[in-house]
Amino acid sequence: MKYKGYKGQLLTVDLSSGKIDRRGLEETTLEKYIGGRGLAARILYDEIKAKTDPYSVDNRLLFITGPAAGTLIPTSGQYGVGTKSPLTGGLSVGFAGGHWANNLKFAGYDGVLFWGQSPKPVYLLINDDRVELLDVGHLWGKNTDQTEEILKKELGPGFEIASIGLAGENAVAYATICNEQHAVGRAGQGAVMGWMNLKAVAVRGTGNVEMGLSGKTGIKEAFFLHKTIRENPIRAGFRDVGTTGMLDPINEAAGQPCFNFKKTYFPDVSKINSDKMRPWFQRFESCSGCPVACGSITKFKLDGADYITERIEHQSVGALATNCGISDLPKVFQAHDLCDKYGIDTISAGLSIAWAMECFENGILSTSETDGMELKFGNAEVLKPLVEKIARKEGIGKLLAKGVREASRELGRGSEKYAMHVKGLEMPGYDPRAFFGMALNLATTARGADHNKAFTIAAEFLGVLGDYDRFAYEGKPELVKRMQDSTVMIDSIIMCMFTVDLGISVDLYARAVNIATGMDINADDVYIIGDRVNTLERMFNIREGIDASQDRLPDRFANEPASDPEGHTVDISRMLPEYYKLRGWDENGVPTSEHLQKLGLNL
Amino acid sequence: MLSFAREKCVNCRICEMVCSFRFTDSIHPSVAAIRIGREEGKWGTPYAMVCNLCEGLDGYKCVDACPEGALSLSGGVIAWNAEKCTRCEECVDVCPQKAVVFDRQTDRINICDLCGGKPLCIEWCPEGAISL
Repeated sequence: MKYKGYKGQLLTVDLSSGKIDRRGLEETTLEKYIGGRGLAARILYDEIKAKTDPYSVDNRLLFITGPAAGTLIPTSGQYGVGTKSPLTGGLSVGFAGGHWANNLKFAGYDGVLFWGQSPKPVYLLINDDRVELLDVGHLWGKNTDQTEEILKKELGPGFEIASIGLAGENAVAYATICNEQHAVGRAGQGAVMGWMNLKAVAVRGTGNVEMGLSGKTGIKEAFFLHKTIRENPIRAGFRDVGTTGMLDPINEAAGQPCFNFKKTYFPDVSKINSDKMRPWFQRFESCSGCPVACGSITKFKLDGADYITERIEHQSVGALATNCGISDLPKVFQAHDLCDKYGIDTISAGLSIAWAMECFENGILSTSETDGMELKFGNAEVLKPLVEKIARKEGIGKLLAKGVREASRELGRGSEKYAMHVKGLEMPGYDPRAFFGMALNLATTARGADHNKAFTIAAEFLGVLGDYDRFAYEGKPELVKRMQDSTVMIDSIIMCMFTVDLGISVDLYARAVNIATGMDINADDVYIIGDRVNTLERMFNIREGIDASQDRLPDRFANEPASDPEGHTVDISRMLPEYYKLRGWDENGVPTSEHLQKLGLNL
Repeated sequence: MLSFAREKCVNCRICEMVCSFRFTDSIHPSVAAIRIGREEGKWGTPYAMVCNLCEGLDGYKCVDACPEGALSLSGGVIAWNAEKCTRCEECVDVCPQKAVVFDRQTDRINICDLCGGKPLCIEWCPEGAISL
């Protein structure tokens, strides 16, 4: 392997036969896709045949690192997990932090590719070059925190565990995979893992990773990136309250979705904002290689008892609190904690509950169908039982575990208009009517409504990456395309998404690749690689029949005004034609053969 | 010697990564001269394994244990003599801090030498948890 930063091999695991093998990575592939999300898109496009049932032996589940993992690149401790999503039917690659990624690299692997279905529940043990599937009968039925605790005790110090909880075992369509409450799996990676009868991947690595730049140059160059983040003024905010610091300003801008996106301003915000939770933070906790440490061990009281959990994210507050109209913060923390333990995506869980609440308030659901619960907006008492019912697929939880698109199709009765999703993925907590660039991004990403595929809020609102009028259509197609393309590099070298707000420019992402790998790429290459990967992900979806008709937002955003004084709505059809054109896609949103050729995509 | 403030550590592992880079020209935390461990249980409190010159004990355990005289106190740090050393790993076994490591790949014994005066881990620790 000419390039450093990689170990040059994937583990492959056929769970049906139990056969474990190793597969080399080609240098030319790495040049075109770098690693992480880019490499996952290529591998999964090639491996998963069109129209594969996500719950079948022909699907794939790929744990993947980027060249940054295990190196001195800051925020390097992230890994991705990709699959054909049971929630959207399209490609989904998500990311989680912690210390799992570095251990996999130090054990000698860039990723692990699973397929098949084990005849009995197992976990994969990776202890450097000792790799084996082990019986996990005693862990089946346990949640992610219990699984970690038991396996860590059994295996001894140094192991990191990524596992599924009850929700993954029961194939809840938005089940996640968790390690120390770092979750990956918006769109159901945990559900695929559960179907495969794979409970956990435990890894400990004691080997080394080389960098492209060695010696004093390597130290100096990598430290420059650390210093850039450390000296950025926004770091202090992340450190203080994490992403929940966004709640007040986004709400003040009437961009905080509430009551299942009926409103965009939450009147009771002072009951749930970061000032309210700050006293609960105990001590900070970082992912590998991160000079920010935005995580915090958090202690909250509920009904006289103490609970310890990880700090909540802005997105979880948006889904479980404001979108459900709930302002009882301890109960929101409890629901978020349970979501991590059962292994459920908090956004999809919150939006599924919010959908049920709007249905209930409009007489579409009655107490005879909600296990007797009054599913009214603001009723905090239903959060815990609903999360539990979703994880166990019991009662109303059986319906909600499908996600809002499938649940509303099944229920009918006009409930479809309350299903807030794009391509089947529930919408995050930045209201499209308040940020038109975000509206276009949410409508067009292959994964569905994923705000992290182009965090335009930085350019439209925070003033970090530009000074765009958030209500303007002009310039947004270009902004979104460029940010979607540059974000591919963050996801492919795999640095933390938050670095985009912390002074790491496109030039510096290119520099990070060069430091880690010894390649020589620049900002132009970043955009080309980003274009290639976004187009490849698009082609994956088109092969599945997910076409331009799904590049849309729920009707609510065009028809019902936001809570700002002007009562904005957003019409993405005013941006889509230009966006497609900029992308080299035809008017039907299909990449042209010339564009595919230009990107070197031979499909 | 280095002093480590446990209450400031956030378990980012940057110190062990950069330390190992100096010894091995690669990132190899398991052979670093400062390594971070965690107490048992969920989010166990971090602690450091790094030479503190046998503070509070009689003598220097690794120096005393070495049958070849390959280790010595020199300029306030433990100096390692590659020629005299037979890689018997007695020093590794006796260190109360688990701060002496043998790296098979580079055939070296790694002990904190304060990077010759300006420790990288201090410069790189974003939390100010390490000091001289």
